[in-house]
Amino acid sequence: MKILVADDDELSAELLLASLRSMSHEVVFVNNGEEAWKLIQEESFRLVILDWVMPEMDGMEVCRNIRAMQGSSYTYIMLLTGRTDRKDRLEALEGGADDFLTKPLDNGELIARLNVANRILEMEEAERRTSRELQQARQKEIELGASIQKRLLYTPPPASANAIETASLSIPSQYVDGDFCDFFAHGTQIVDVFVGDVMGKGVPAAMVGAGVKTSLQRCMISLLTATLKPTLPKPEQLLQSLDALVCAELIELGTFLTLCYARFNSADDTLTYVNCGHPQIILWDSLSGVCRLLDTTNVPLGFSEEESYEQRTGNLHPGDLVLFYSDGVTDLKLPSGKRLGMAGFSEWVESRAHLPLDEFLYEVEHLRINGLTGLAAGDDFTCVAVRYRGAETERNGSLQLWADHGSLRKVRNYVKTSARKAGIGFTDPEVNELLLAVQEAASNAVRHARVGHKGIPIRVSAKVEKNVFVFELRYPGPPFDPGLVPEPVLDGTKEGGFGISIIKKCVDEVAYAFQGDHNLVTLKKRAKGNGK
Amino acid sequence: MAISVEIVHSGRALVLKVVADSLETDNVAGFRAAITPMLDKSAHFIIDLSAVEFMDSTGLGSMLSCLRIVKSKGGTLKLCNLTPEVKQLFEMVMMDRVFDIYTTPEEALAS
Repeated sequence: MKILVADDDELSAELLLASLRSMSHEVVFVNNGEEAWKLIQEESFRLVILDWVMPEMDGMEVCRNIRAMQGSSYTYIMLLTGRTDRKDRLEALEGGADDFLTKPLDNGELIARLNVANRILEMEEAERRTSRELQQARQKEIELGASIQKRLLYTPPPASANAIETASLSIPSQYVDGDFCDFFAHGTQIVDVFVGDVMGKGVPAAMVGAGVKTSLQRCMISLLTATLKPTLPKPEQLLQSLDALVCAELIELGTFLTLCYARFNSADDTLTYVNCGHPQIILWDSLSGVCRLLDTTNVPLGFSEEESYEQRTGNLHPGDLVLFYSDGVTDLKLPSGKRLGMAGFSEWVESRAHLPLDEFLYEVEHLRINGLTGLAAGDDFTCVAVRYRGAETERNGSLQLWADHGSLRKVRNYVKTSARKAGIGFTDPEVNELLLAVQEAASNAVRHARVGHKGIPIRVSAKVEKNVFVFELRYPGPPFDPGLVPEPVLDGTKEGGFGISIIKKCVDEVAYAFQGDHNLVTLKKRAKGNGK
Repeated sequence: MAISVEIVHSGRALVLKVVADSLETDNVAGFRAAITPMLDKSAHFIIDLSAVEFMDSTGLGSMLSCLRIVKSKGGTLKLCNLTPEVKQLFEMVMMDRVFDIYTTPEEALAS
């Protein structure tokens, strides 16, 4: 054992050193307290034998210093003293001493007391080893839990599924939590998204989450296969069935969970949902640019076995943004110290909902970083963003879409098909003129509808009236006045400003109007050529 | 909509080909990013537009921007292989008078 001896009485020290060395201990000797304290800070000694009385820094002071120091292992301290007074000894024990050696030194006593020290240090070492192993096992369990969560609990819908686009962000608080999400895609028109949050944290919460998720899948399968002709169960039926399966068990386990189940249906442009105590869904309406918090419909699962689930249905427009999030988001603190809250988050979302989803979530992540203060960092943070795109197919003679990057081609394809189908004899150059006019009108809409917005909902329709091809384009935003656009410069010195003039040259009539809350651009073109 | 610009011939003039079926609002930023560094590689350019079936006013603006950059350095920029749709646009806004337009890259090189 490595032992430090500090004694200013060199004669008595010599005896002690000789005894210790004869027992094969590695001994370092100093003759004052100050030097002993210096060495203790630099090197690690399992046992320190200090003379109580030394000039400058005495043994008690060194002893107190050692105990005040946060070492990684325990240092056993023996005080070398001639004092036998009970009060003195009690004071020394209070100060952190473990044992005493009485002067003059008795070799038999020294051996006995060293044996005690050795036993205690060995026990301490064994305890430390066990604690380290436990810590490692716990860490392993946490990592395993995190992996369970990643693989089993967190299955957000793919970036593009049926009529929706999604992106999500999940930052667990302690490697693992009970937040989960998943989706069901039914055919080409319907997709269900659900998110949940189990009370509590850690592996138990994750296991409950995984169990409930599996139960929900079982409910879906059993409802789908309950009749010979499968019909898609309504969200409220599904939740009722899930409740019957898990509620009693959740109550028994003393836990509960919030769950939000939402169905996007592009066949009738609707959102149907059941929200069991989860933070309210935020719905950003792309036409008005306004956010709304959708009502909660039920209490969390595991609260009551008599709950009757009811769904709500609302309309969706291409471009609408639907947000699901955990309370980790609403618990964020604003710079003012106020909690963000659902209303605060909804207001925050309103000015950013038009952004492409990845950019939107990047902003959410920044909100989190800026909003983390103190203990708030410990909360789970989940946000699933869904952009409703709709079917993007012609319905009732018109095509509605969320016009952002890449969508102008869809408008052109729609017009190209409509012009061919019109059967009024357009030649290829005439079809090209139509496409140019439509492209300029639609890209003008995207550029100017809402300043700074990268996407807007637009509705285009094409029809034939008395051998005239009529194209209409509707989009929100401030009224557009073509009279304010200067005439183009055609000598090559200006790179822009051709759009309005191209439209004029490509069609026979063009009209700009403002109806209610949206712009209406009407383009009319007759076939003059010798097309079929 | 991905867009790229390829060097198909480098000699006295650099022949560049626009690889995309459209040059428009939705991909014009990509076009500018792809072509700008190439405009430092030579003084004389021929742009082959054979793949471009559709161009709008924004795409046209980006071509004018290239022309201005090249001319400011005392170079030349010629266009070739215009599809009927793109030719129609150039004629509509009289850009056929601003640009030197040729049928093939060989014809443009020989001129």
